[in-house]
Amino acid sequence: MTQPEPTRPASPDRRIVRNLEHRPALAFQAFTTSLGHVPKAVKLRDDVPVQQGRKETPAKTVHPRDTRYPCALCLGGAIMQLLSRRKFLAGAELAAAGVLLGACQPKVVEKIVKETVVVTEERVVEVEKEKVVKETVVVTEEKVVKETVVVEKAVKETVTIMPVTMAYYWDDAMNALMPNFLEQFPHIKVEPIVVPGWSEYPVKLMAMHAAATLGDTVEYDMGWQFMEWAHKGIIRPLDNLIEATGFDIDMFYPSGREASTFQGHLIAIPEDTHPGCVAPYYNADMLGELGLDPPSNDWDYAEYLQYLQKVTQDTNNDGQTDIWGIGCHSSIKGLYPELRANGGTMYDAEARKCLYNSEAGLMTLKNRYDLFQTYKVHPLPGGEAYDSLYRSGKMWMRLMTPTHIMSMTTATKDLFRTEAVVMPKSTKTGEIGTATTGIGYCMTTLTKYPEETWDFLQWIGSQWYGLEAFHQGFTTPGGRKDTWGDASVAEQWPFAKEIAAILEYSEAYENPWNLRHQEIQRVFNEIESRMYLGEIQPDEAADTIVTEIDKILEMPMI
Amino acid sequence: MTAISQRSTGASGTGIFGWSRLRRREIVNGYLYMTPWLIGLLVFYFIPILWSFILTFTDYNIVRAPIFLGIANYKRLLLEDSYVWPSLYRTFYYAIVMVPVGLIASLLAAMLLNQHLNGTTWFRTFFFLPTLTPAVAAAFIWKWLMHPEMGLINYLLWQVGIKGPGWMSATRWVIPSMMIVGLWGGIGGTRMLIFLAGLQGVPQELYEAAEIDGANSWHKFLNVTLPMISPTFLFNLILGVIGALQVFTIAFTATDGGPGTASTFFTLYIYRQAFEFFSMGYASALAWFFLVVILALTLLNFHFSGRWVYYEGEVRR
Repeated sequence: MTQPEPTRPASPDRRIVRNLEHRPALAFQAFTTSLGHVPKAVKLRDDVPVQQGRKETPAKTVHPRDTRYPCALCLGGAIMQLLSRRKFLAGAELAAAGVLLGACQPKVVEKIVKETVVVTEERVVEVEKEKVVKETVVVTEEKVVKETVVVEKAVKETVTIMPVTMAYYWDDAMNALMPNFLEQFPHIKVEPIVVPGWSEYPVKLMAMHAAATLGDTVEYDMGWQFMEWAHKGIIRPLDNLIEATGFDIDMFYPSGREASTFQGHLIAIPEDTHPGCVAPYYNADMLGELGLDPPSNDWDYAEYLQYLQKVTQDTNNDGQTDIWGIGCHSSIKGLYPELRANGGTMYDAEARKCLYNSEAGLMTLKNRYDLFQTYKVHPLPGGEAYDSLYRSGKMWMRLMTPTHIMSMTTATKDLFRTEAVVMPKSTKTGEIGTATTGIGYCMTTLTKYPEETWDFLQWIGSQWYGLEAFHQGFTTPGGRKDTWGDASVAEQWPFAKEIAAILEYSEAYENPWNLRHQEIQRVFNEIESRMYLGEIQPDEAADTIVTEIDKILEMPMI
Repeated sequence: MTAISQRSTGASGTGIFGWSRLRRREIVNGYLYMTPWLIGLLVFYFIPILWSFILTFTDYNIVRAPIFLGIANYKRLLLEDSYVWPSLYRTFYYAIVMVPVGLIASLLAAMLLNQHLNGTTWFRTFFFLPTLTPAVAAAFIWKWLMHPEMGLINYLLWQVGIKGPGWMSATRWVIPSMMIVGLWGGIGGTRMLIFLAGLQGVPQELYEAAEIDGANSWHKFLNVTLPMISPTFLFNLILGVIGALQVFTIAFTATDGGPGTASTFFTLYIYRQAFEFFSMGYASALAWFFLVVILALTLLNFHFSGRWVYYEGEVRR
């Protein structure tokens, strides 16, 4: 017969603890009391069963220990009696380890921060409430309050993004627009890295990328340069961000998107888009002085030549031309629309062979050569800058990209009236050629803040930005259909609708397969320049262009 | 005597190589003082030079890691690149005119200043001023002076009935124009001062001896001055050849190598390959090739200098 194990009478201390286990309110009272140093006797209720099957002696006022000690110690002493020293030490070690681990995780807060930025605040609070309510009410409230504070702090955490830009772009107009962005995104600071100009930009960008100091966005001529940077891993595709945020990229002109696409991925926001050198501007007052009507958008190439010959003058009969007919944008870019208008292309379908010695290519070079050497309506390269000639009234017409129309109109408004006209249609095809270009904004692969940088790019690509920038003095209303077609733009710049109409069918540049456009451009410019100077004839120039460019096309990918 | 020698060596302790403690300390201190310079030389010169040589065997665009190509870059520059030899030819054309004309003109200027005439100090300052003008500023000023239609030079020529050339805008005239700019900046510069120092170092008694022998000015110049300043002449010649072959700034700033390729000198071509096309490997190969060319010319100069350079106190066998 087994003897029942004698029940050890509960000591007063143990009783207190056990009672505390079952009485959270009492435990809290004991805890809060322990924080004060005036020990108070704990009044236990009579009807609380301390141990199952046992009826505890109704308690009177019990004092656990000597009243000289604080109650926290009383509680500690009670705990010590419950636990063995070994268990206590093990528990203390675990607690210390926990504290240590907790202390070693400073990023935990940041993690919460990042998550809470994505999930709404309310949800977090609700979840925490549900979770904590199961325990004690008081603690729950404390916890919720703490979490809320952390979330609010996270949302306001400031992030600085650094667009790598050019002094030409980050001007007063841009500074006037920036408050709008900062207002929308108060946690994003924008500190531009300003590079002086176009020629320094690629060098600076490459050096900064190599040194891992490149900023968050880059901006440049759309097309080959972006392809090169994407190929070298300097800029990143934007497809995922567009998809995730539902950014309306279809609002941009197709050729702008095409010029910003590399291997099927969009790598830039085509913020500024235009169809290339398709619309020369001219000194309208000069025509009035000569008794000529302004050219219409339907003029043909013969009329174009007649105008140029009529306005080209030797005013003082010293055998030197004083007023030139036209100054054209040279290089591949300047001739491309005309090449296309004549039915030609720069490369074959795979962009591995140059086709400039085709009939269309030869015709394009011949037309340009005639302006310099046959009709002598174009000043030779190396002399006074064409812009300077135009501004001083020594040149009637300038064939540049449409970005220059507005800037030159503004620059000459006190001197004479500048108007624009669409290039005459090709005598061969009856069409106007195009070559879409402009400025695109890209995100670098080195950015630490893709979300914030994407916010900035979306803002740059917004309709608001396109229109406001134009009204602030930018040269075009951007790259969107809803900015080019906006009534406020047409009101300020009526010719914009002509450009917008051409943009609807404009085509992007072709890029060489190995992306060695820079080398090709250099070779092209040198040969073209010799042709303009009359050192070589157009047919020889065409053959030399093809020979030299084919050599570059045989080289490996850049 | 013995006591002194003991004190200087044995007493202060003789270490390795028999150096005294003081000597050792001096050596250590000397090297410590040199260390910053040595580190600078190593980090900023020696290692980059070595690295550039390694790059000559690679395709390197500064973004991705270099790709080993073997001697492909050298093969390309020697056999395939149609820009290398014309640009080298232009560079030599420039140097062949610039070096002798510049040397003679600088020597003449130095001789003038060595006449101890009134106002020599002022003239020396005026002659030296162009050297102090920043090369880029000088290039732009000269570009405007030589402007075919609006330039001051053509205007002055037109005043006397001459139709001026296109200068930097004309293929034929662009390099001669740059020579003029180079001579303007180079004649009265450091080279002239070195010649002046050389001339002032010629002993007067040699001229007196020559005069006693009945030598006239020309004879004195030919038989006393020239031999005595021949080491200075050699020094200036070597520096002049190297400097002329490295012509870059004027072509880069004033013409960008144009019109066409008419002023694309070799250094400009290296620059383009490096910083326009980012073909660092190929640009390094071009640079090392050019180094070999300059080194060969310098060695040739040294080799033939034995025939015309006279060093005072030298014993000829």
